[in-house]
Amino acid sequence: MKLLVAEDDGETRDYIDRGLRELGHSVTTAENGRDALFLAMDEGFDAMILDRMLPGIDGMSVLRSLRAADNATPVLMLTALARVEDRVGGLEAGADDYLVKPFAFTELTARLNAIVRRPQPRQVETALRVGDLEMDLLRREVRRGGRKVDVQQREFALLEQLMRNPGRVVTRTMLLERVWNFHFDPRTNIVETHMSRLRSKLNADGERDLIQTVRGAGYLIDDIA
Amino acid sequence: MPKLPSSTAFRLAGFYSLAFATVTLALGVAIYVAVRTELRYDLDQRIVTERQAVLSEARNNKGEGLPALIAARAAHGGSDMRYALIDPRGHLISGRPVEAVPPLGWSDMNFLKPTGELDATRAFALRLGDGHILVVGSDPEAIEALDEHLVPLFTAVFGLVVAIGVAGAFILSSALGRRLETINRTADAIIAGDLDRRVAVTGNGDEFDRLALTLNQMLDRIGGLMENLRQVSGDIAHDLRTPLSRLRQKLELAVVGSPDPVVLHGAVEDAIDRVDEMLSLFSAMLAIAEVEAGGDSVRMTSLNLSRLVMEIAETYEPALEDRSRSYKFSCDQGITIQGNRALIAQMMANLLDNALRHTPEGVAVAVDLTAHPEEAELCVSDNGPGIPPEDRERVFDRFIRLEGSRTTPGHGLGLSLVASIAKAHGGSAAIHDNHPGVRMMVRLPRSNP
Repeated sequence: MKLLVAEDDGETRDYIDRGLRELGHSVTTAENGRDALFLAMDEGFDAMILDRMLPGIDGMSVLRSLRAADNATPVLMLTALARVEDRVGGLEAGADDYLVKPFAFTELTARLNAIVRRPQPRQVETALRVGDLEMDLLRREVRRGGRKVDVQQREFALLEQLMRNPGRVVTRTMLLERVWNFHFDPRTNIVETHMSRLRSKLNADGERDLIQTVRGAGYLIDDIA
Repeated sequence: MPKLPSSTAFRLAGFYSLAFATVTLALGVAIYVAVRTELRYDLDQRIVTERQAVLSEARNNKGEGLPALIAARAAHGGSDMRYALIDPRGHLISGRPVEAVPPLGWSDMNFLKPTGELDATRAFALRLGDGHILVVGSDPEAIEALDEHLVPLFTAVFGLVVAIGVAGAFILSSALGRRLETINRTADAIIAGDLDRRVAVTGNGDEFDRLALTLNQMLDRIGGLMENLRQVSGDIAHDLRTPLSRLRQKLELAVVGSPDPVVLHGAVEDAIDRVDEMLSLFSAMLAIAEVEAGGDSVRMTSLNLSRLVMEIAETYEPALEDRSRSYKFSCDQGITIQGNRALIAQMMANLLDNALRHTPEGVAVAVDLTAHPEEAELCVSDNGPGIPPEDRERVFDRFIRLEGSRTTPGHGLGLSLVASIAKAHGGSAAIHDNHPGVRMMVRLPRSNP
C-alpha cells in the first residue's frame, strides 16, 4: 500500500516508517501539518496515519481541510489524548479510526488494514462468507456448512468483526471497542472467554477451527487450512 | 483597641447611632414645636375670650364704664390675666402699669409688677372707638414651663442616645473584631505552615460559628487533598520505582548475559510486558485525575443504567463461569441517571474484575441493581473470604493492595477509580460485610425518581 505518515516526533516517525516498510508498504513521511496536507492533497494515498498534534497546522485541521476538499483518503489518527471525548472529536472530524499512544505495532497495522479495506458506503453487504461459514446480516443468522449455529448477540458481533476482515488480524482492543464499546482495558479476559464460547459453538461438530489466535495481537478468521 | 475606629463594624455602628440620634433630635424638635404652638394657641384663645367678655360687660354695664370694670378685674386676685386701659396720650387710666405701650395687635410685652420688676406677658392691644387702647394679656407660664422642663429633659435623653450609640459602636466593633481576629490568626498560622490549625468554634451557633465551621471544612478538604497527594507521590515513587528498577536489572542482565538470541528475545518480550503494566498504571492514574478534576472533562448525558448494567453483567458471565464462580444478576428496569457511559461501564467492569480477582474458585458472585425512589443502588457481592473490618475503608484509597493480595496482579487503583466515578456522578461507593464475603455498593442519584 502507498501510505502517508504525518508525525512530528522523529523516533515515532522512524518506528512507524520502518515497521511499515518491512511489511512491504511504500511510505512517505511528513513532519508538520502543512507538508502533510500538501502531500495528501497532491498524491493519492491508500491511507494516512495522522498525528493529532502537529506543528503548524494541527492534525485535526489537516483532517478537516482534507474532508472539506472531498478527499476521502482513509485516516488513522494517532494521539496521546485517551479521553473518550477526544476520540469522539477525532471521529467527528472525519477520522476513520483513532489510536492512542503508546500502541503495539500490530495494533497499528490491524487498524490500518481495517480502514483501508472498509467497504464503500454504496456497497451494502447483506451476507458474509468465510469457507463454509456464512453470516446473514439481515436475519442475523450464522450457518456452518448449512447447520444453523445459535449465537448470542455479542458472539454474533464478535464474529461479524472477524468476518468483515477475513485473513487480517483484528486486535483485542478493536474488539473491545467495537463489540462492547469499552474504551479501557478490563483486567478480566472477556474477549478470550467470549471467543472460546464462539469457537466451541462454531466447531460443535468437530469442524476445523477457522479462527486463529495471533499471540500478542488478536484474532483472525481465514479459510486456509 | 487603637485600630477600632477604622474597622467596618465601628463605622457601621457609628453610622447607625448617628442616624438614630438624628431621628431622635428631629422627633424632639417636632414635639417641642407642636406642643409650643398648641399652648400658644390656647393662650391666645383665652386672651381673645377674655377681651370680648370685658368689652361686652362694659357695654351692658353703662353706668360703671370700662375703667372701673378693669380696675375691678385687675384687683381680683387669683387670675393670671392682666389688663390695662391707656388713653391716647399714653397715660394709664385703669389696670396695671405697662413698661411701654404695646403695638396694636398681638405682642410679647411687659407689665410692671408693683415692685417695679418686669412681668413678661402675651397680650393683645385694641384701639377703642374713643382712641383709648385696651391691653388684655396673660402670663405665658405654661410655655415657659415647657422650655424650662422639656428642653433639659430632652437634651438629657438625646445625650443618652448618643452615648449609647457611641458605646454600642465600640462594643460591637471590638466584639466583631475579636471574632474576626481569631479567624485571622488561624489563617496566619496556616500561612506560616501550621497546616493542622483550625478556627475556634464558640458553640453558640451564630454566623461566626457557621463561618468557622465552613472554613474548617474547607481546610479539612484541602488537607485531605494534600494528604492524598503526598501519599500518591510516595506511592508512585514506590509503585513505579520498583518495577522500573526490576526492568533495568533484567535488561542489564540480558545485555551482559548469554548471547543466545532466544534468551535475548525472551528478555525483551518480558520487558515489553512490564512496560505495558506500567503504562496501564499510568492510564489508571490519569483516569482518576481526570474524573476527580471533573468539570467539562466528564460529559454527562441521560443514561439507561439498567440496560448498561445488564449488558456488562452479561459480558462477564462467561469469564466468571470459566473460572468456576457461580454468578447471578438481577436488575430493576427503567433506571436512568445523568451519567457518562464510558465511566459507568468502567466502574462496573472494575467492580467485577475485583470480585473475580480477589475470590477463590467456587464462590458465588452476584450483581444487583435496585431502584430506590431517589437513587439507584448497584451491588456487586461475593461470599468469598471477605476483608477484615479494619481494612475495609482503605480499599478505596489509592494503591491499596491489602496483605495477601500483594502478590496478585493489579495496580491497586481499580476501587479508587470506582469511588471517584461514583463521586463524580454525585453518588458514593461503600464496602459492606456480606456475611461472609464482600459487598461493594455504589449509590447513584436517579434523574427521574
